[in-house]
Amino acid sequence: MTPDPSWKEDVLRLAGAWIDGHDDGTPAAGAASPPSEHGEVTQRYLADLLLVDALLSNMSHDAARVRERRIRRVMQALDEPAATVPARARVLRWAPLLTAAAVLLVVVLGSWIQFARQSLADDVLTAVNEVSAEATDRVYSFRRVQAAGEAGGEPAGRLYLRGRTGLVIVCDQAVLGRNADQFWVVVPPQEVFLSHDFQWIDARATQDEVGLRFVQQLSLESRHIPLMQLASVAELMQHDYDVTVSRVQFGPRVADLLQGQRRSARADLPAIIRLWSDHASRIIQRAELSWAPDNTLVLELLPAELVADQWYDYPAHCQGVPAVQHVP
Amino acid sequence: MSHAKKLFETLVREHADMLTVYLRSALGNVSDVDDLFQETMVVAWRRLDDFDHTRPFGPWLRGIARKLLQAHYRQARARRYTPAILDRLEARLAQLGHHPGDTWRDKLEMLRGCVQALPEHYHAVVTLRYFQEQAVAQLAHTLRLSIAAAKKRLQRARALVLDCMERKLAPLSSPVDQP
Repeated sequence: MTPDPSWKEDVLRLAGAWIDGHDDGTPAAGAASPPSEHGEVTQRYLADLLLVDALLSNMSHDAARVRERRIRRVMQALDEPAATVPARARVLRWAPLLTAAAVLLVVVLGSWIQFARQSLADDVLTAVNEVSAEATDRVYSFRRVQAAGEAGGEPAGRLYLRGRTGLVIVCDQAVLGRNADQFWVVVPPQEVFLSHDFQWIDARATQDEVGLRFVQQLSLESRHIPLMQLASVAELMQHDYDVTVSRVQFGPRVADLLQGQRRSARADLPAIIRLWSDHASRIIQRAELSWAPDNTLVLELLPAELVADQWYDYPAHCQGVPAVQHVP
Repeated sequence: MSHAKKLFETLVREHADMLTVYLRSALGNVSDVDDLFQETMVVAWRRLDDFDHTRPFGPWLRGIARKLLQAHYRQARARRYTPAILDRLEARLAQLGHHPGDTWRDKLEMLRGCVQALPEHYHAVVTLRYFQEQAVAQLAHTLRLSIAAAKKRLQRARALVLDCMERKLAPLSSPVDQP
């Protein structure tokens, strides 16, 4: 590169306006002049900066999922010519069915309203589920409310989530986590328990009077832990709960409040789940998981934090070489 | 799925990241990237008989993408991108293609190294923007910076990554003359 700071600064600003100007990629108004007004050296440097931006964007946690989606779309598109039905024919084929459905909906208006509500709830829940499953780090505070009507005291700890499988809970005495199918607990000074089932760790650690202390300290029960993975909760609600949705104000934001009533008799699952998801981003702002009026777990979204890529693996929370025990 | 389609899927998978990066550099808009990605691959499938199997697939794919990009620019009346920019992108991607590594991911290990080597405050801004996909306003809030300062920091971080990349690619620099 030619070490001439003045032209470089200009190109950096131009590239910055293109890249960071607006989310849709259009430059900030008045910030960028057409590249044809610049010399070729400038244009080449601009191209290099655009390439760096694209390369870095493609290294995001979510890139693999997006890639698979694009590949799926391509492979489906290759099959389309054989399977394509002209749009008009499709409409004609569905027309009688739609008419019948419309008549039926008029007749059973009451049922329709109920159906529409559930369908809307399902759409919102699906969107919340997809956003929660993204491999983006989110941080929540959590506390357990143990008396009906109690507002709840200080948060018991901090919960880090990444998609469906990354979970870390940090408290003073221990760190509990999950990455993919592996649960782990790091207990000072250097003891680590690993298992594919958190309840096994809990049982073993309780026997050693380690886990009991840990769980008590957080005011949690072992059945709470897997449900703190909020992507799993959103998925669970789709299958095991009757869900309704309503639009509410949540601080300065408009939110969708999803309320789920458990259908099954499984006492290990919360009887009621409430999720407040931001209407625009679908990110869960607050969650309440209630097993009983005196047993509710409350999670609240905190400002984003920078964590290491390996944050959800136990070595990131150990100093030196730990003693690792596989349980059972 | 036919045998030919299975083989083509392998090619799509192998070149998906490279094509995404090329289109993203040349478009900026993510939803346009989705559309052009699909269109490029479908055209490639339909013209597969024209492909010279003795030559690498990546440049041929980028050739198709370039024609579609130019049509897209005309349609969208986008005057931002010039032939010089597209030429440079092509040259850089060809250079990356020659970099050691069996897969695209292997070839980009050096880029990861460049990000790791960034000074802490630049590393933080890159991590939040690119790995955690935070909007500029959000990462500015996280880092307690003004939006203008966050943008400036991002600009400088990208320039540093580019300098580092150039140093690592330099021993193999064949087709790209320095600006």
